[in-house]
Amino acid sequence: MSSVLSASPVIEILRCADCGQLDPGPRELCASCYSPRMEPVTVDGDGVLVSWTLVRRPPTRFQADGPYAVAVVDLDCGVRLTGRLASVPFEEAEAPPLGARMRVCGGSAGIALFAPADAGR
Amino acid sequence: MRPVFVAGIGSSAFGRHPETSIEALAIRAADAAIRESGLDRGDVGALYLGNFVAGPLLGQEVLAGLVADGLGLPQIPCTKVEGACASGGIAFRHAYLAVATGMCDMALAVGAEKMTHADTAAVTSALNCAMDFRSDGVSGLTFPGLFGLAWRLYEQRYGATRDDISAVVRKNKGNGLRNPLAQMGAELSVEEIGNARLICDPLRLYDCCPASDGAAAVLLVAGDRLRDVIPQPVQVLASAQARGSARIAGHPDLCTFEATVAAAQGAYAQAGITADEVSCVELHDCFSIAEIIDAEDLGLMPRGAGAAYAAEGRTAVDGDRPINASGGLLAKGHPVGATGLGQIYESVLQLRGAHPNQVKGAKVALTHNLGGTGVACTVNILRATDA
Ligand SMILES: [Zn+2]
Repeated sequence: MSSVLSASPVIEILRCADCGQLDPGPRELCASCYSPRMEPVTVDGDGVLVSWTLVRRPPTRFQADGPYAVAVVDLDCGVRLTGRLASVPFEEAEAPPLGARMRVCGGSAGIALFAPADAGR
Repeated sequence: MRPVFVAGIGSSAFGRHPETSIEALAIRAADAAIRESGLDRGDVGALYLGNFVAGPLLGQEVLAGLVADGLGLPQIPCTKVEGACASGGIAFRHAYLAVATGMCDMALAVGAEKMTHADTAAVTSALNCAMDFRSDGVSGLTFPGLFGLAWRLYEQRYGATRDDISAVVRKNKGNGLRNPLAQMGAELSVEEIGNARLICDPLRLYDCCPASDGAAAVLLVAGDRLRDVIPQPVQVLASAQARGSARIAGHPDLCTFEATVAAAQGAYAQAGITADEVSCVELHDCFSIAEIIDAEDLGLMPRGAGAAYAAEGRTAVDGDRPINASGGLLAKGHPVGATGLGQIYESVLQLRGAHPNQVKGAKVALTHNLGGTGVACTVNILRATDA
């Protein structure tokens, strides 16, 4: 999983040194040309909300985090990322609509946190 | 490849079996399949056992050998297979291949799981072993969560409503009420379903299959053994398996599983039939929204029409596309390693004309078993033989 650089709207993913294919990682071989030369690269943490869900009953290892909202975001660089919403929407109305512009706003333990891009930073 | 037939079936009820070991559940189901067939257990040439979480939840592995020993089988190859919730379907396919390729004339497929003794967090953790823990798993995504994501996107894309999707729950829970093997049949109103407590938004309680204990078994034979088989045999027309991505980023879309699409195409081609020729379907409704996505992936209805088909009664036992007459995973239960073989059990009853929710004139049955985040899928097609 990507590591998130704190307090900066960028995110670290992988890029194939041979063909340029991006991947959320981890990945040993490029999905496009099978090259083993997948190297870390920093991309803008901006994208579009694909979907989200609220995990109310977490598995044992995430018990301390719950409830939390898992979000899938398509980054503008073309990579799909699974992270979390920074603010947990206990009511539907509190959630950003699907398709909303999102921006990474932090993260820990390899989990990218996203907030609506218009929420300021 | 030579023709393969189902000679015998056996199953426990799906549900709570606190006093019965997983070995006992599996041995009883398999013994029932052997006894029903009328064939000699000494002629069984291979055993494949589907199981997913006996390691984490029971601390017991090598179930294939343990079960074979309990059955009194010869010193044959006994293999446990694992493909998350598709483990049972994969066990069936391997038994099918063992007979179809001529490796042996009789093969036993068994599926077993025991889950209800463990608490919810432990069960969720065990099931989450099927998540890719280098990618999506890191985020804390769960399987209800995966389908929560799919639901939200599906309802936005196709305009399906909560009540449309509740129609799947009402149908399967109602079917389960009439299936003596089902764990959680119920007569539920749309209000009860729509107001039940949230599990993983927008999934509510009745949108999720229960944790279950159970076992099911199928004895497969080559055509030249049929003269000794007691029950009406059912032919296996196709058994296909495909893989899909283990991570969300690898799927083309959250509202489809490419493993299902590929396995279905493979199975239809192998059987030489189209989706229109299928009389009844047992598919992997681990969640209400899953039934809709699966049915569309299987080509049983157009994209986006799945919820409407349920709401209009077209997927009911007496509809034109009967789905999960058994009650499905939602009502019959989901002892994960046993589910794929439970689907075969239900389908064989349909093709024998002996199902408690009999689909009139059922001639061809399809089963669909999906594992993990769509990382493994099996699709099987069965056909009735003339009496
Ligand atoms: Zn490359």
